[in-house]
Amino acid sequence: MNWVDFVFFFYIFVGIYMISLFFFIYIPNRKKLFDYPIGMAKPVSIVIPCYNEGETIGEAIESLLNLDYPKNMIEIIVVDDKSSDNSAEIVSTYAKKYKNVRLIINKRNSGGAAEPTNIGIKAAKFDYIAVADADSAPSKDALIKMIGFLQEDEKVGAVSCAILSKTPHTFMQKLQQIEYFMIGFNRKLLDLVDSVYVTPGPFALYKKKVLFEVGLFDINNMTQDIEIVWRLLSYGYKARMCLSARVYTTTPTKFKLWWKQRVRWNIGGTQCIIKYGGIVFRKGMLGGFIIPFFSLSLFIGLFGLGLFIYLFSRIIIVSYLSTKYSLYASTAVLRFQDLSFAPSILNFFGFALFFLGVGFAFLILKIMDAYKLKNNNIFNVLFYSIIYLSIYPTIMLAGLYKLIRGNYIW
Amino acid sequence: MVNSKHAFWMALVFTAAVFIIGIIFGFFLEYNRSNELAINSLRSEINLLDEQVRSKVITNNNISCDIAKESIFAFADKIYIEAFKLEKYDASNKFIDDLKEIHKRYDLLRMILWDEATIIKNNCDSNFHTIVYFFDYNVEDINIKSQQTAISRLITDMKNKNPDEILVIPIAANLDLESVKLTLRNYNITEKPAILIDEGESINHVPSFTEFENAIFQT
Repeated sequence: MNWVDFVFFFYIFVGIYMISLFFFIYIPNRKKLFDYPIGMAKPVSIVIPCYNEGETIGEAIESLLNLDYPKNMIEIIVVDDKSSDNSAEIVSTYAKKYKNVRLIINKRNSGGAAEPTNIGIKAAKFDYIAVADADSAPSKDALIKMIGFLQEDEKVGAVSCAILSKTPHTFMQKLQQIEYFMIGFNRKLLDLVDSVYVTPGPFALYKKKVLFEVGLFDINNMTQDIEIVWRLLSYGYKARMCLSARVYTTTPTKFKLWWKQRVRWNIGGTQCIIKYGGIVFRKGMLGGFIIPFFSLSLFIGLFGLGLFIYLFSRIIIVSYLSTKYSLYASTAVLRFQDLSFAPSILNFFGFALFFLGVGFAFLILKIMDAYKLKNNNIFNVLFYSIIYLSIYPTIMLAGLYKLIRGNYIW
Repeated sequence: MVNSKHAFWMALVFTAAVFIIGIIFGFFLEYNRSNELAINSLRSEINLLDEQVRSKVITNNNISCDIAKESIFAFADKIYIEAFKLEKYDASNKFIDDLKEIHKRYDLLRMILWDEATIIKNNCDSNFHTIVYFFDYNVEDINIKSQQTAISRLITDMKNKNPDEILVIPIAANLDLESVKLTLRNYNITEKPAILIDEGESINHVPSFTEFENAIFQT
């Protein structure tokens, strides 16, 4: 066995471990995944950071105004980050029409969501703060289902919900729709082991006093919604996830936009690892699982990419040279016997892992009960499992490169 | 909610169990393959001994050279197929490392086969050619690996074109066998891959098909 075999065995071990971990969390809790504690409606300030969201901000405000929640217990604060489009005009129209809608215009364009969110939180009247994206729309029952999590346990500082893709049109969006189902379900499983690591921007609920205690959102982090949770956990608070509450968000339509978004997420994640790396193996599940999990994912992704490039390059060079020599020798460049091989134990493990992974993906989609497995959707799931996920290590590399160079913007 | 933190340990135990079962299965699989090859090589050895005894009979009783040639060609083809299987299994084995020893055994059988073929050629006023192909086993160097792939294809093509006139004997030159080392020294072969044609001319590069054909049939 050479070192490459050892690396493959390690990757397979980690892969089987993660799938079985999720499975062992899922089995005893399978009938309670969509449960939520019944909460009491309390006043909530909903903060929406907004930058050039003229196309979607109106719909976002409408969806919040239509929440199944007492209208007098909601205030909507849109903080415009010096948009260059008509976002502010649209919001001011709503502010004139509804007395619980407010517009605050930031003095400068901060280039991120954290600063306008913090401005909104400081201006909020109520003790519960919901943060929503300007291109997202929560389900009507989202807020009332989520608030109970904050009320049942004093140590819970934040609660998130399942992020789903708005009706997808492009192929990229269809793949993201699958991904969002996977992420939502897996995040709920992590919730069951106190390991929620993010309260995603599209819709999340916080206790205001806790946010002030930990120092609000970090304006220097590219994923302030991950960083805030890590900070809450480091202060001894918990973050929860409500799977039955959903928010529908706009997903990138094209590869280039998707790539940009994912690189930003990776930069933010890496910033969090750097910031909180010192508390690894301490502070409960943050140091015991979340930080090692993020760090290992980053290492595995980057090392795997390097190994893939090395092995693939070797194959390409050997194929090129042997083809060149074969052409010179006027002999066949490929034979049937070149294709035949005896499967190794690694091949068996690899196939088992692949089928386990794909099987788990189909199981999740079935449980989420919102995805019809027609023929083309099965193709999408397979494409997602084989191709889409394989792109992630290159995103990690691009993110790391930009982070090192300091060349990153929102 | 059910407290699920024990899931971390359960997953670890489960994964370790899956791994142990997988590794046992891997050992079993590789042991079976290795066993199959060991039995094949033993049978080949018996065949060769049989061949040697028969060649003595041929010498003593002046029995047809055609029969001797036919049987040695059949034997060479047989161990070629077995060697191909050996290569496949060798590439996929992760735990059991004794295929290298079996490979050495096959190489020695081929050395004896070569010797037998030379005797038959001399005794029977040869009407076939021996192509001995020296290569490096498990080579890492990309250029040598590519050359070996191309030469292996070339020799197979040549053999397919002239099945009754060419006896192909591939031998790994880097398995630390004294007899092979001595042979390489005798024929002054320092670089691999190398093709030795009828115990005379050796080629140390990838030849064109025509060049190779001329080298064989014009010696």
